[in-house]
Amino acid sequence: MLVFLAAIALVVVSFIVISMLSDRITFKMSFRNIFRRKANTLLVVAGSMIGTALIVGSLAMNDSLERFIYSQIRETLGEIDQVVVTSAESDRGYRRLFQLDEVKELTSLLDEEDLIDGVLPILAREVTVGKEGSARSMDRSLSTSAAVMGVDFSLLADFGSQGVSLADIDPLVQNDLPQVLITRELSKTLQIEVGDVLEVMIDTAERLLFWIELPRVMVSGIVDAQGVLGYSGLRQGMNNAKIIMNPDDARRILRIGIENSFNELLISNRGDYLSGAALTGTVIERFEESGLEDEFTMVPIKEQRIRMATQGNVGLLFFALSAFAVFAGILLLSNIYLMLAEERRTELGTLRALGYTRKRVARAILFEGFFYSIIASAAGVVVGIIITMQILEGFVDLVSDVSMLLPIENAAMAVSTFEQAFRFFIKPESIFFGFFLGLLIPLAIIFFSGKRISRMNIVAAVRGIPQVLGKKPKRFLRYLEYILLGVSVLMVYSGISDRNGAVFLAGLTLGLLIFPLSFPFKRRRIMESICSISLIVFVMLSNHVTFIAEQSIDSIPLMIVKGFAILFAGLLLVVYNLKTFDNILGTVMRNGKNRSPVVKVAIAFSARNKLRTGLTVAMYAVVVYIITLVSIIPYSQEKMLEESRNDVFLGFDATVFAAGLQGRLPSEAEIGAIRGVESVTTLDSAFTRILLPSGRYSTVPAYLLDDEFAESTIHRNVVLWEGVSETQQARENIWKYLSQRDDVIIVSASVLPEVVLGDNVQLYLPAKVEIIGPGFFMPASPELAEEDISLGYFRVIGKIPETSFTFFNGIFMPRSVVDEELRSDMIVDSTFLLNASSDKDLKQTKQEIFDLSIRTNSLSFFVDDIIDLVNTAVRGIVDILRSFLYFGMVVGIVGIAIVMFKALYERKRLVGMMKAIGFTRGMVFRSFLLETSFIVVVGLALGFVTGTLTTYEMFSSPFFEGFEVFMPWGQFLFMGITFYLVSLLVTLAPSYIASRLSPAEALRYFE
Amino acid sequence: MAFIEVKNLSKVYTNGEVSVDALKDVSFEIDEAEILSILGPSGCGKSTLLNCLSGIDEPTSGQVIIDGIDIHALSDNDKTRFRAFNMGFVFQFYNLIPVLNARENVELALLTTGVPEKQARRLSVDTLDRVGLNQRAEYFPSQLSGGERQRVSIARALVHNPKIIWADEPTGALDTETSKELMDLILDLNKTNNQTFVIVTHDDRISNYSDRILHVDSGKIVSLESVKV
Repeated sequence: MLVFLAAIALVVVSFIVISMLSDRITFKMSFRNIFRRKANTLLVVAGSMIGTALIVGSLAMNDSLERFIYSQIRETLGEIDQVVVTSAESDRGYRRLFQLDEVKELTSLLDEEDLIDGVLPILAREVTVGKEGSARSMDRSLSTSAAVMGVDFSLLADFGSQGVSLADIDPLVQNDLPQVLITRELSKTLQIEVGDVLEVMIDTAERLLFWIELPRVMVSGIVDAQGVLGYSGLRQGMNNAKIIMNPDDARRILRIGIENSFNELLISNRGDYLSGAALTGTVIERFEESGLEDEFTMVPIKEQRIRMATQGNVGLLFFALSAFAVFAGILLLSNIYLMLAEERRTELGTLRALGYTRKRVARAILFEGFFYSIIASAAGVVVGIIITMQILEGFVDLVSDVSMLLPIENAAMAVSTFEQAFRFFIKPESIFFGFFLGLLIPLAIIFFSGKRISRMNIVAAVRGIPQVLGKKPKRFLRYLEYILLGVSVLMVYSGISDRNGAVFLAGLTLGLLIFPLSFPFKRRRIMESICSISLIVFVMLSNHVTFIAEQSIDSIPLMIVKGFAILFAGLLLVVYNLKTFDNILGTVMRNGKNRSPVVKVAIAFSARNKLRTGLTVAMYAVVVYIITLVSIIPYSQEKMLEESRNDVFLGFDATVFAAGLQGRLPSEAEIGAIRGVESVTTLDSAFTRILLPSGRYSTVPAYLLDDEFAESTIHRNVVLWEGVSETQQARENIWKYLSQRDDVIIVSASVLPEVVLGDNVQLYLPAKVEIIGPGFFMPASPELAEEDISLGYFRVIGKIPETSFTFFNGIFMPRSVVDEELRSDMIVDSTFLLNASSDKDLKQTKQEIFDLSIRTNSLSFFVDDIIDLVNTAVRGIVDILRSFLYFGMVVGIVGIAIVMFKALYERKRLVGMMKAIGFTRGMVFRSFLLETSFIVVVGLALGFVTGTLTTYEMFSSPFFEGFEVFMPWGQFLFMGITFYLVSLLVTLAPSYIASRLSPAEALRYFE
Repeated sequence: MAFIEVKNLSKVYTNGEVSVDALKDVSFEIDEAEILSILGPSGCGKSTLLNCLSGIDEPTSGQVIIDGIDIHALSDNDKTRFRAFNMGFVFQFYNLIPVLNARENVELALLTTGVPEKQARRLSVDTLDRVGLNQRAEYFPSQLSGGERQRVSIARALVHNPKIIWADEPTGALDTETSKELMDLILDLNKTNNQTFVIVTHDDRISNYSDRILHVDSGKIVSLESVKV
């Protein structure tokens, strides 16, 4: 695409330059036009520059985000595509170690088929590390968690297409201590330098066992945590603190007695870090054929990470945003250059009369446009880059600010990693792409406008008479309409037969918008309006069409098509009915001294210049449309979150839970002893299997509630089964009722959507669970096993709605249902829920709970902090998106300024006439401002209405089921008034100049 | 006392260091219901004189007293209002608002004087009828011929029944036949409504319709002669 654009640009520029040299007089004329009206030139260049800047800015946003996503993958995985681990688990969740011989068959098979370019056995485990004498310290600046990775350094150089080079690491003088490499992040966190000795603590319990000597290592080099060196193992977190050593040393330090044993086999597919992932499917097939499937598991880690990264909402949001921002930029460019061409019409007509050929006439305006667009697109690239840099910097600062709210040890390190990775980035091709678009769009518009004018009747061109289309162009247009109509029918058909919502809706949109133009309807305006309204109504109800509803969740094209359909239909509806606005405003504003002629003139100009008004209205509407979407959705989520305050921790104020494998929970008594804690309850969780009505088994967490829970919870968001008696139905009593029975349960709709209130379901406890990561457990087998224990049948008496924002989703039952012995075997996790007094000592209570968490390596969260955190993060992201869109709003504002300045020049003589026949200065001034107001208000209203309609449409999709729309009226009012006032402000100058024009001079005005 | 008194009117245009005397101490009088033609070669200052007389341009010195009011002593807004109620304008290039139709263009002159819209509509249609354009009331300027546009322009000048109508080269953009028709119309209106017409032209045939002819050259009055139609 880029090469194609570059080639076109090169041909066009060469053609224009050669033409300039061969037609010096036309060149001179075009060049001098630039300096004729400096303010006008400045506005054209400014507008054109902003259009380009918006396009470049959008591309840069996407590039930065994409680079961040892929840099994370590259940094943490490098060329690792799959990881092979043993399937079996120990009681504590550790996987069995294996020896290389066990996987030899697989590696040979993959090697023979040339599917891979490297295998690397490693030993990886999370530990706590500190400088000599500091690993046991509670001070986070002295000790931190890090991943130990044992790897054969000699194999690193051959791993992957490029290998991992450690050539610049100088070996230290040998001593008794194992030599290790550490990552730069770890070095930075603990101020470690080469030559320092580190202590490694495998289990946090050793913190208290101070008589046990911790193993020590010496740092012989500091490396960047990239690729394989950035990988921490399947079970470790995402931070980049690593200690890399040879496998023998790793075994000694981790106290592994089995020689030549490893816990992970890293596999790099042929190709680089991205292209290799394409072979994952084939590699997994070979793995399944190798017979290792029973003993080993192959994790397609690269594929998983790419999928996770590219499905993120932020990426989607930026993509949609960019599409609309680019569209707004194109609209601005189109508007400016169409106006320029129109302005030059009389001159070009005169040139034709003087004997200029059509080609030379078209060339004259092309040269002028070339000067403007080449300056503007170059400047636009620079401006777009600078503005996007500022916005992204704001984004990184926001993440740092939000991270400060997180009471998590590794947050600062993770943010530092994020800060380094999420930086402004723009691909060279994006710069060229933006530049070429900024150059070619104006040239294309000017070229076709020039052509159109050159073909006009000379008298019509000179005298400014609207050109009536000749038979030939009319016929051409008619055929084009028929062809487009045919294309739309084909698209609709193809969309239905392939069940492709985006194609179907795009076809329908095209068809409905073209249809009224294709036939000579007597009352075309009515037909056009009916079609536009029908399209909006259809899109709003489109989620009732099954295949569209299914794709509404994740089809980005469908989302964009829906948005464009509503926006376009709304825009055309307004443009078709501009005259109606004229009549309405005329009637509404008829009364009042001098108001009528002012309104008449102001609205008439906008209503009759449909193309210009339509384009300017569209510029406002597009940006306001997307701002509306970006405002309503997070605001609704924020409101729903606030309304779910009592759902987050099931009606308690705070929670305390163990942090991963190394964490330990404090006792209930320890928490209860803290001043300000009013009640504490222990929420034990165990995995249960539930036999669903469909005959399928589902495994979900079961939360075992004690009496204290029922006494203290204020959670009420439960939909009750009508079978429970009236007194029991009172939501205040439902948890108490549950705690007194051993045959009823409450379930979360989010994890068990199939279960219906009143169902009698059978529950089992799985005999085996496995640890799949720090704090993450799963039953060893997804299906019901023979040794699983039946708990009996339970009636579902309540459901927590799917929209409830809570940390605990699963089945809720009284603790007494599971007998004590069984409980001690099956409980995989415990969490404390507590209520705290909300008096002035709350801060102190929080601090004490936090300190207790630190001491025990557990985590504690308060619900209000969580809500604040989520809202701050959401608001921050939305504010940054909005700031980009406010920049987009400049498009509309510059557009209206250009329109009004042009109007000033175009209507100079008319203003003179108006003043001559009795328009006072104030009336002329008001007529200009009213014209601006009309365009701006219609644009803002259209964007707002279509944006709101689109939001309602989105919320009607299955993805947002149960979500409610909340309108941020305050934000909208502020935004609307601000944009309106700024728009008026930029048109004050032309309005004032017009009002001060001397009628005699204005009447003499001829250029 | 004359209806319009012009006393020692001078106008100097200054462009950088260059000054041009467009009008040099001009004095004369115009009677009520008179048709006065201002004649002279191109660039002699006749349009400048008309602009200063009508109050759309400021003289450097001198007075223009219309019906006892020194119009240049008025504030800009008062002067504008005075024009709105007492004057009508016909321009060489019509100066119709392209986005308003013929009727709306005519209405504009009434609406500026505060006439209610319904009444303005009725009066505009009547006036268009008087100038022979009743069938074209809803046409936009671009759909009318040059003569028709000038008729609309005249209708706009007449609709609010002003005391004076200023016409700057009203036939300048028209052919001979249309020019004659238009002047006949002006003459007829003058007789019927008793309005004062001041017409700037360089066409001798137009001046034949006048009661008096003011010859101007190099910003000075060369002669002021009576003509019998």
